[in-house]
Amino acid sequence: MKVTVKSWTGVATWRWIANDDNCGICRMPFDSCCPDCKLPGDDCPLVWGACSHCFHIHCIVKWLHSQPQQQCPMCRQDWKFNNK
Amino acid sequence: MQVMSLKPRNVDFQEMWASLKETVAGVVALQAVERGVWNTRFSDVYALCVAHPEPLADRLYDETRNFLEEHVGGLLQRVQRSAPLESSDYNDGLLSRYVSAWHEYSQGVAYLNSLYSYLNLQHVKRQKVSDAEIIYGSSATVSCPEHDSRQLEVGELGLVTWERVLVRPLATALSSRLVAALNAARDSSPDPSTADTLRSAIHSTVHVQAFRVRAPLSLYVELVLEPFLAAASAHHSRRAAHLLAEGDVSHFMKYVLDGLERELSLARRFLHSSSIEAVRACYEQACVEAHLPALHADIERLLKEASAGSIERQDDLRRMYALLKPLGANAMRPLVDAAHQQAVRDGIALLDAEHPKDEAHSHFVQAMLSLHHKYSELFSDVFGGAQPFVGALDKACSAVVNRRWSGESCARAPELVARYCDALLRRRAADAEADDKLAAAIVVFKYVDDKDVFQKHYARALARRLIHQLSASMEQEEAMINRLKAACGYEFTNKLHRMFTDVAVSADLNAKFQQHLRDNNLTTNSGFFIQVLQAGAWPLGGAMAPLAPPAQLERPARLFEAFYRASFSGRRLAWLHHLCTGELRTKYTQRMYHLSGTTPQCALLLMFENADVVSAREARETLQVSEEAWSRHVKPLLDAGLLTAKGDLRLESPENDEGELALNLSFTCKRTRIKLTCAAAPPNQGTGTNSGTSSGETAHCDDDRKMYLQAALVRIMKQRKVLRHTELIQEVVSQARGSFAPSVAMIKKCIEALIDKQYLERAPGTLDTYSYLA
Repeated sequence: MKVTVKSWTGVATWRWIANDDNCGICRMPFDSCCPDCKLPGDDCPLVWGACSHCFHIHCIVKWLHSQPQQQCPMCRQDWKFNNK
Repeated sequence: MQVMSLKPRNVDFQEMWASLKETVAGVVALQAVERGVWNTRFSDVYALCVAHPEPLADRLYDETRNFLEEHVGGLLQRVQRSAPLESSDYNDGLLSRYVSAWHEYSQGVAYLNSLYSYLNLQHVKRQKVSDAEIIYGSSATVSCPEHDSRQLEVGELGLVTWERVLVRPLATALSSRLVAALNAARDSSPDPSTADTLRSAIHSTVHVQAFRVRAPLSLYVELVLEPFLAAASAHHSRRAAHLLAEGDVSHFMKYVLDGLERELSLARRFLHSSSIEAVRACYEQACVEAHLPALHADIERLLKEASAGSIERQDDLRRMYALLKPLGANAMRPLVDAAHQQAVRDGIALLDAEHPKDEAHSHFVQAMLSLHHKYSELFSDVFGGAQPFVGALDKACSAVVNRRWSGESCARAPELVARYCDALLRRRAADAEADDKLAAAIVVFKYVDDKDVFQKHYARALARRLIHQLSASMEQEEAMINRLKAACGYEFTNKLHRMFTDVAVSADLNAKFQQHLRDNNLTTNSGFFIQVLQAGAWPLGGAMAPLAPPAQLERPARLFEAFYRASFSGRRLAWLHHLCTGELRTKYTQRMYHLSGTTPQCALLLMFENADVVSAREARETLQVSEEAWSRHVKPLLDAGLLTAKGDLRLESPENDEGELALNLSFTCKRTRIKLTCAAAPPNQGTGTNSGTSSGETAHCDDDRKMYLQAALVRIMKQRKVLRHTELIQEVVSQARGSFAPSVAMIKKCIEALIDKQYLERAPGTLDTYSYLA
């Protein structure tokens, strides 16, 4: 061995894996939080539906509470949380 | 002694008045009156007032008035004697005779008032109008009691008679003598008896009308104050002109201030206490206001010399301020403006002073601090820290801080202050004063207009410090962010706080990952530490093009990725290889060296495992480093002597590179730890612009500002619905001030943009009003 690795400090960034840049309900970018929160990150996570649409959890919960039927606001399929 | 009867009875007025008059004459002339006689006369007054069949009070009153007039007429003769009325010779005895007559008479009348108590109480009081009626007026009382035929209390009657019969004829004589005496007293203090006479004479004019409800000082004003002020004003003007003619402004101010002090003490000593302000105003009018141009002309010179440390000039300025302050804001303005300009001039000179190029940031901050310190001391010392001067200093500091050097598109202040903070925060050597210096830097920071630009610079420096663990102490970092928060609010430091949180979360994550490895009997073969950052919060530029790391490095990275995916669903990791650092040990050299460098650098070194020479192009393609980043990573290795170039090595155009890289097997270095640097990538990586960091930062900031302004405009309009142009601009400017000073042109552009986007419209029928479109 000419050179051995003693240690390595990695730096990485994370972002949401989403099929869109903005939340379809509040129109805020997913990198940012929903209008009710101040800090993005773990306090304002995203959720995915079975229909593959994705929203801020606060936004979709508020939407579902205000609707008689539990439908995805984007595709009108029945809303199911996708716990992948 | 006659037994007193309270019963009304018949009295002979002539007889009773004759004996009463005799006593009255005695009382008024302050002659001794026996108690028995006094008591009898007291009852006589009562008897006359309640006489049967007709009360004789009115008659008694009239007779008494006639008597007093006659008596005062006699006194007039006594006072005036042969003194000429037009003279103003205050030593001719008239004043002292007047005062002695006044003392005697005023005292006598006071006694007389007691003798006539019954008349005063029962007869006069009933006719007297109440104070309220006098002040607020009523249908019955149109004029003052002293001018109508209503009866007065006997004491008051005496004073009115004195004024009418004695003072009026002597008015000019008294007035001219009093004024002359006061003038003389200004230059040399009179002997006590003369001073007493003068004071008594002056105050007699107050006492004579003291009982009046309306304008109780009118006689005093007419006889003493007005003539005195007229004479004083002429005197002061002459003296001021004389002072200016014989010396410079410092000399003038010194004597004028002394004169003011003397004038006030003269007023306090002799005049009624209400006149002091009038005397002061008269003095200032004649001495200062008339010569304002002369005073203002020298301000600039005085300030220059005072700021250079001249104690005398500082005293001069203190006097200048004392003289100008009472004259109000207009007289002060030239002084305030000059103070502002002096501070600006001085500040620019300080900033332009010679300094080493790489110390520009600390030179800048320290120059500003010394400027601020110097002038706030000077102004608080000389001007008592008066608000206008504090404001002038603030304006001056902000003008100097935000000054643009010729040829620069934006002020350098934000960058310099941020670099200053960076240098202090990353300093390894313990700097005990770092905390104080950082706190002081906030003073300068507050004057920076482009706070948003500062924030960008600061955030990038903070990111570097956090990722490479260069911070001197985390407490210090946090304290600094809190200071910024206190100065600019939560929004401003929001991202900085998030960066902090990420570092803490990463530490936690590393612990969990190590636990995960242990639980699953996995190992990374080498030390492994990772920082996972939120993409939006860190000013790091985009992720690098995918790197194909060597197996030694890839394994831990893949392990971690798997772990991360399992822990957090819905998140994608992107490696920032140019920020990762690896530590390597060399085995091929005589001594063992510890190298630390970026991932591509480590990977490149690891490629020499099986060969001593590697083709440059091949190496780049294996590692999949982008062309643009290639030279930045390889150059430090060549510079350090770890690698040597062979053949035609062209780092700048790697596509046509036919050169080779060779491992320097005979590498030696004095130090055993070698840190390989890597130049920071330009912020807008990938766009290909290679302009300097500053202008790139500015362009970035401009976009942010436009967004900020548009958001502010919409917020304001949403709330107000309809607003005029100027008011809208004002509101936007006041909202934006916290982070930058927007130009009106930029705001106008944003308004246009919002009209295009149909957020706003020009209100129909008006030229300068906008309305909000919901």
